[in-house]
Amino acid sequence: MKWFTRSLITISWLILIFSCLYLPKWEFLSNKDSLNVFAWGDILDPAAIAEFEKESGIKVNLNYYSSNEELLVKLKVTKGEGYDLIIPSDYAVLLLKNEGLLKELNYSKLGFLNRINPRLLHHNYDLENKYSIPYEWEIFGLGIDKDYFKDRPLIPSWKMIFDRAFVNYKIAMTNDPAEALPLAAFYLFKQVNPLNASQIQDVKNLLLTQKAWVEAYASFRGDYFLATKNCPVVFASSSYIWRTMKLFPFVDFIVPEEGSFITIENLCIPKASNKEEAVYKLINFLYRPHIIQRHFELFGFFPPTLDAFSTFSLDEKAKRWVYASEEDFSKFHFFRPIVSSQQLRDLWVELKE
Amino acid sequence: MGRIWKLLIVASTYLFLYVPIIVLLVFSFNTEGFPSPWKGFTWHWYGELLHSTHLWQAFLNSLIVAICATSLSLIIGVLLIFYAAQGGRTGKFLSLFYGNLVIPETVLAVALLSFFTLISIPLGLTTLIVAHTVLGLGFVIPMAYARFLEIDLRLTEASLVLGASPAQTFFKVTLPLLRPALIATALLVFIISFDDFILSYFVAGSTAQTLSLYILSMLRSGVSPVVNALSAVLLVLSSFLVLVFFSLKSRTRIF
Amino acid sequence: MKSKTTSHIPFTLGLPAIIWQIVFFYLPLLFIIVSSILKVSESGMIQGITLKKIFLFLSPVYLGVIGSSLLLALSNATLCLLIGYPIAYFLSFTSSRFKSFFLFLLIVPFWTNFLLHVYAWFFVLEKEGFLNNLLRFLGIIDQPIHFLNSLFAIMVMMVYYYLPFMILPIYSSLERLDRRLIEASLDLGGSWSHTFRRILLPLTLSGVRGGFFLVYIPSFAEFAIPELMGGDKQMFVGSVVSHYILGEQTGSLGAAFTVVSSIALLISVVVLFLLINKIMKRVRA
Repeated sequence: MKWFTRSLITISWLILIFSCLYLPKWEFLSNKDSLNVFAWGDILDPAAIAEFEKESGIKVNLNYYSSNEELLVKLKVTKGEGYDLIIPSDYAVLLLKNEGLLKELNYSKLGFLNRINPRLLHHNYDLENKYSIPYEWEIFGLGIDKDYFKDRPLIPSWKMIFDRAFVNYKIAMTNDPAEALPLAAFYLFKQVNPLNASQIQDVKNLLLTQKAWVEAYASFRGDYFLATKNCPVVFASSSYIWRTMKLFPFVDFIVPEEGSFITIENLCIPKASNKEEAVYKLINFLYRPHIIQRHFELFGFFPPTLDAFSTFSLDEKAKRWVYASEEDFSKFHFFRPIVSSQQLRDLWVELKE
Repeated sequence: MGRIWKLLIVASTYLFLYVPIIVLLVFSFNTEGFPSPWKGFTWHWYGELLHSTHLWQAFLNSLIVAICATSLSLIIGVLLIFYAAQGGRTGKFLSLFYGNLVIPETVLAVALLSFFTLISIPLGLTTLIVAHTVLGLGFVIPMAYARFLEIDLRLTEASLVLGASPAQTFFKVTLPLLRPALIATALLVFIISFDDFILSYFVAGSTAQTLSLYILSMLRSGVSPVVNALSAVLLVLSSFLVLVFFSLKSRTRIF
Repeated sequence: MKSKTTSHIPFTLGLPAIIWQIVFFYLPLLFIIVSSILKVSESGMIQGITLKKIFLFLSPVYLGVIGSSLLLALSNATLCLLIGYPIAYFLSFTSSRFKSFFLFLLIVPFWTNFLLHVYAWFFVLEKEGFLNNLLRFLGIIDQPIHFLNSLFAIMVMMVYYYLPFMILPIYSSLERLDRRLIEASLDLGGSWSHTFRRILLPLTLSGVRGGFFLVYIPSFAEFAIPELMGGDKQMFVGSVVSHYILGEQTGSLGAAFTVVSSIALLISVVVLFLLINKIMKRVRA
């Protein structure tokens, strides 16, 4: 009898504890008049969202992820439930689409399609843009300290970070193997395709040689190394450099002539979402010119539409890329997996060893 | 043992400990951010600190987690001691808790994350509180039990002999005697939870941003004197808490 | 004698703590140990036992990472001990007026957020930071030295952060020491080194051991300091774990690596423990 009572007590405690733990889950899913948005940390301006909430009366819950992988895992685990709007990068859209986790977009509800920059559409990851529309994009290149290169040679080429003959300074390199490997492969083989064993070895050797002049591997702090004049050259994305350029006029952005990489952040709706009306309202809101303008000013990502700038002046540099030509775009590549994930991880650990 | 040497070692160590902090504080008042040298005095960054909603949300989250974790670990810890006081099978159970502080926090964080993901518990403030309570128990139980053992048995015996029930004895005699140790432990657990970084990094999920994670994201994306201002404020807070701790020190035997 | 009707209340009240410990501490640990030897298919079905995952991490690359971490932890603990013991001694034997003050000064950084200390050291070690400016001002160097993003910076930060962990236990055991033993030893003509070896060290051994492992064990799993202070140029156990565990589908691989490195850590702790005892015996003789 004693043990029976004790077991009962134990079970009651367990039920109590676990119901508290699972509580957020039930709350999350049953909220009918709100939207759950899952995005990068610096893509959506909370103030803009607040404006939308006030205007439409719909509550928006912003949740952040720090990598596409996290987004993929979360969506797979919950089968897309729980989120109404997500903002994956190009290759993530492809993966999600293949898993059947995305809902087809209803174009009749989107009023801004003719304003979207056509160069951002019809890429491999979603040829007909059935599931995604581009929201922001950026290109990768080299952040440069103009003061340092006043009297020193400067060429718009990836040799600035890879070629021993040129590099006699410290650089900051990306800490993401999914970026570093395709970049090295592109530099060596002029294309971004799956690698065979000997090519992998070449890439590894290149990265190992490069390590000698790497000050730090930092995906998010490239601009910091420029601003503090620690490194005169850093590998960075345009958005980061744009933000730094505003604060430090000696910073410049160069896109190597051989070509470079581009990422496009897209708006997608998970299949399990059932808040059609509200989501399309939000999407239309996000494409309003002044909202796009605000996002560009805040975060530095290039805008998806070309008309946002009639209302404010854009500096020459930005104009160059926002209005990039067909030819420019032909030299842009997407980051793509070119080795298996295990090989990627092993290589990266070996590099850092 | 030359006095000079002794003084030199000690002075340089304390200098080592405090120079970065002092530099940090001084530059929180600089009119321009790093890497500019000293340009002028301003309260501007403190003002910006006050207006940063993200920061306050993170601060609030850290506070909530710390308070809940501390209270939880204290309460269930004390209740376990209560069970022990009634003669339950204690020795065995209490040694269960000594492992919490021995394993590296990263291992615990990884284990908890895998466990939570396996049974699909949504990550967030609740999981953080659970994790921090585990840490807290690792402090509360050993410290409270050690103090409990030091209590003069005659006091509790006298209480029982005079007709109090075991429960009354515990709550009216034992507990007050444990109180100084409990308060000191509570302070310690609170600070450890508030400043905790590793557990939060793994177990907080994407919705709960604690202060440590917020600072980490700021450190990763660049520097700003706002962080200096934040450090200054947190330093003052910590100093205050240490002062409180010290006023209790005389009544406990932590050190 | 407990009456039957009330005998369940203490149990009910004391139970949550035990449940907590078992469910949220032992169970997860057991789980990652088990999952590191389980074979799981794509859809999540368990297919049997495999040591493949373990062997994956016994390759030279990963063993090298574990080795670096062990070395880092060992050097950190040793440095902290060499610096910390004299400080603890000074603290314990100083006059009571300033004692509390010095203890206070020691604990305040300990109780402030760790990341802020990292940030503080950025300020000091940066190319245009405090230290470089000071050295240039004093004319000692011409060009700024790259202190940051190096092993040096990592070590500095680790000692800085873990020093109080070493000092406080030693201080504790020094406080409990009977001063008269030292006085007696010196009075009876013993030299300082003799007094230290035969009296101080053995009696404070528990404090030294406690401090040593309190520093050694967490240092092993550090990942923030190598990333922020070392430019993430070298991977340690913590960095590998955080890269694996938070990525896609690699949760169980991360768990497996955690298990492998924990075993390595455990072995090293046992070895060090025995080593310290042996050294003690030698020193006493």
